Amino acid sequence: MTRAWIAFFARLAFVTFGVVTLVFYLQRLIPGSPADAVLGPDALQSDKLRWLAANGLDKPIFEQYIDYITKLFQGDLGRKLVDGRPIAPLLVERFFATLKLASCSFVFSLLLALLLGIYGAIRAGSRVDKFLSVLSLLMISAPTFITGTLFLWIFAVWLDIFPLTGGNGLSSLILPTVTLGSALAALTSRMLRGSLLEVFHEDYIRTAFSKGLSKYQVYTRHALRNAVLPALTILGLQLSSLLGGSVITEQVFTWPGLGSLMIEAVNQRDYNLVSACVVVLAFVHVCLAAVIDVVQQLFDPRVGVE
Amino acid sequence: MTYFDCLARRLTRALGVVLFVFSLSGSARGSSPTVDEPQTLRVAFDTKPRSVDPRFVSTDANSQYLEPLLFLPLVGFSETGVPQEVVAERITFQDPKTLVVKIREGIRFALGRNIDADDVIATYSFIREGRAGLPPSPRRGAFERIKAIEKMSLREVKFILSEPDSSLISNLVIGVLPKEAINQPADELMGKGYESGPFKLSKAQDEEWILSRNEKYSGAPFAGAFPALSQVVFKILPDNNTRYAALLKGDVDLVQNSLDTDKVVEFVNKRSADFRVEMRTADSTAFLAFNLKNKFFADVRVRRAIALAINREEILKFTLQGLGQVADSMFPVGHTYHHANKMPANFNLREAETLLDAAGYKDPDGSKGPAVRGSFTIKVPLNRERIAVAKAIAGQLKKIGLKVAVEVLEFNTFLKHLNNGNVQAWIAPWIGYKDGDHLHFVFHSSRTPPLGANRGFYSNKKVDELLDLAKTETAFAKRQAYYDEAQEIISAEMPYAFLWYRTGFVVMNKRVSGFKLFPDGRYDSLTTTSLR
Repeated sequence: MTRAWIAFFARLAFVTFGVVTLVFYLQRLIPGSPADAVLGPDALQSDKLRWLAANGLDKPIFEQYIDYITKLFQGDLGRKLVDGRPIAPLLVERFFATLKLASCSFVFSLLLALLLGIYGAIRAGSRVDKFLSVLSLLMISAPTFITGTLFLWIFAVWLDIFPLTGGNGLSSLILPTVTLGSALAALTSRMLRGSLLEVFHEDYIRTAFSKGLSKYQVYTRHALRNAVLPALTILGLQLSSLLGGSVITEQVFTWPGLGSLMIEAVNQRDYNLVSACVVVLAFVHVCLAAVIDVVQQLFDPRVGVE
Repeated sequence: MTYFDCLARRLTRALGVVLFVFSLSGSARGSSPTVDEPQTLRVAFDTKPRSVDPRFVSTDANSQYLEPLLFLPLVGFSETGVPQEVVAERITFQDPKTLVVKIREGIRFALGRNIDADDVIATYSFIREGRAGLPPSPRRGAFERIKAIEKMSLREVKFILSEPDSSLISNLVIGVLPKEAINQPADELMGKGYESGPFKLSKAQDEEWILSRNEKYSGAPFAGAFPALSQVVFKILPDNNTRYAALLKGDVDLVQNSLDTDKVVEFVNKRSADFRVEMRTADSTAFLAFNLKNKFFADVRVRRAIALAINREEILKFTLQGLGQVADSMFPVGHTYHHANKMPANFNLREAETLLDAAGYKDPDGSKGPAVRGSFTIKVPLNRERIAVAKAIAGQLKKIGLKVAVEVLEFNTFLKHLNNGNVQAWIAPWIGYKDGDHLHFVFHSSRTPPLGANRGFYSNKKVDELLDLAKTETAFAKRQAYYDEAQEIISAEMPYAFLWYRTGFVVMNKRVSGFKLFPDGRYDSLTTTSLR
C-alpha cells in the first residue's frame, strides 16, 4: 500500500512538473506577446517593454521558469497577466463550474450507457438494437456544436422548457449535460454491448445459470461485472477529458468553465493563467488515472496482481 | 418480469432521480433575478469587456462603448466625428503648443462632489506617467506630445505640448476619474461612487455586466439625459447562434453589430412583426493592403490592377448579404474627413489586364491558360467572414491571371506577421476612427511598426508633409484641406485597395424604443431608451 502511494505521488510530481515545464516553454514559442494582448497592438513600444519588465517577462526564459517553479512550490499560482488579479480564486470558480457540468454529464452518460448497452446486448440483432446502433453512430459522429445547437433550438427556443444559457440554477445544466452526456453514452454503450456479448458465451455464465440463479442475478453480478472493465477505462478517459473543460459546449451554452478560460488565456497570451490551468488539469488527470486503477481492481482483482 | 424490464426500471428510476433534482432547481423559464425590474434592458455582447477603468481601457470595442456611460470624458463626438465638449465647457488652443480646457460647472461624481481641475490633471497624469505598482496605461501613445499639465484655476487646466498636436482635442476622450481613485488598484472602481456618467457599474462577471442608473447623475451636453432605464444588463454570449436564439426567445432585447449577416436579413424580411432593425453605414472600412517592400507590389500599376479586378459589389452581395457600401477612401460618406476618390477603382477586368501587361506581368498563355502572371498570399486572421472575403478575392483575381493563396492565422500570430513585415497582402478593417490624424497613424512613413500602423511601409514625402502640417494646424478648415490633399495622393498610389464600409445594424424587439444607432456602434443612446 505504501509503495502504491509512493508510486502515485511520484507519478503526480513527474507528470505535473513535466507538463508545466513543457507548456511553460511551448507557450513562449507561440508568436505574439502578452503585452500586445494587454496594452493593445497600437500601444507605445516603450510601454510594452515597461509592462513586460514589470511582469518579469523581460528576463531570460530560464530565469522566468525558475521564478515560476519556485512560486508554484510555494503554492502561488500567480496573477493574471491581463488584469493582475490573483488566479487561484478564478481557477477554483471555473473548476467547480466545470466539475458540476462534468459530473452531471458523466452520471447521465453512465446511466444511459448501461441502459442502452445492456438492452442492445440482450436483444442483439433485434430491430431496436439496430436502431440503437445507428443512433449511437450518429451521436458519436455528430460534433457537439451541432447537437448542442440542435438541443438549444428545440428545447430552449421552440419548446421553451429550458433556459438558453448557464447561470440560471440547476435547470440550466440540463441541455449542456444532455449534449455532452449523450455523445459519451453512445460510445460507452456500444463498447458495453460488445463486451457483454462476448461474456454471455463464457463458461461461468452457463455455470451461473445451471446453479439456478435468476437472469437478473447472472447478468448483473456475473456478466456485467466482467464486461464493464473495458468500458471503465473509456469512462475514466471521458471523465478526465470532461474535467478539462468542453470548449464548444461551454461556448454554445455560455457555461463559464475551464475550457473557455483556457482558450481565453491562450488568445490573450496570459502565460500565468495557461500554466495554472495546466497544473490543475495535470493534477486531475493523474488523480483520475489512480482512481480508475483502484476501481478496475475492485471489479477485477487480477488487474492489480498482474 | 424479464431481466431487462427489471434493469430498465432501476436505471430509469435513477435517471428520474437525476431529472427530479434538476426540476427542483426551479422553473427553467425563470430569468435571472437581476433582470426582473420593468425598466431593465438586456443587451447581448459577443465578448466580455476587458476593463472599463478609464486608466486601462485598451482597444477592445465593448470596453470603449461602456466607458463614457460610466465616466464622462472631457470630449465626445458628434455622429460625423466632430469633437464636442462634454465635461469641458470650452477648449481653446492659446497657441499651437498650449491647449486650455475650461471645465463645466456642476458635473458631479456619484460620490457627490463636482469634477474639477485636480481630477482632470490626476486622470491625464496617470495616463502619461503611470504609478508604481500599477500597469502602464495602454492609452499613453496619444499623449506623447504633452510636456506638462498645469492647473490654472479650479476649473481650468492647461496642457503644454512639446510639439504642436491639433489631434490632442480628439484624444481627450478618457473618462475623468476623481483624484482619490487614481492610486486604486486596476479595475477596483466599482461601488465607490467614482462614476459621473448616466450609469454605475453594479456587476462585472464572466456571464454578464450590469449597469444601473446613476441616481446622482448631473447630466451634461452630449452625455445624454437622465436615463429612463433603471438597469442595463449586458449578457456575454460568445456564440453567434446563441445570441440569435437569445434574441428570438426574448432573453435579450437588443443586439448591435454582432449577428451573422444572414440573420440580420432574416429579421428584416421575415420577423419584422416582432423585431425592428435599423441600419446605417458604420465607421468600419475594410481593405486589402499591400506590403510595398515586396517587389510585385512596389509597382502602383500592379496595385491598381488588383483593385480594378475586385468586384466589390459581387462580394458584398453574396458574402455579406449586401450589408456594406463600396469604399473608395478611408472615411465613409458622412464622416467629417470623408474625401471622395477622384480615381475610384471601379471593377474593370480589361483595364486591370492592360495595367499588368504594362507593368511587365504579361500572361504567358492568355487569360484562360493555366500559366499565371504572378502569385502572392493574402493573410487573414481566423475570422469566418474575412476568410470568405479573401477566398472570393482570390477567385476573382484568378480571372486576370493572378494566383492568390489564402493563409489563415490566429489573431496574435497574424499581428506578429504584420508587424514583422512577414506578409505580402492582408485583409483587415479599420474601425472606430474619429480624427483625420488616423491617416498619420496609418500612412506616415515614420509610423511603421512598432511606432504605428503603416504596416505596408508606404512612403511619400508629400503625404508625410501634409499629414505633419495637419497635425500642427489648429484651424479645422485648413486641417481638412491638408487631409483631403493627402487622401487624393493616397487614392492614386493605392497602398490599400479599399473594399467597403460595413453597414452597422441594431436588431431590437418591439418593446425597445428610443435606441439610436451610431456609426461607431456606441451605446450612448441608452440614456434615451425605454421599454414599453
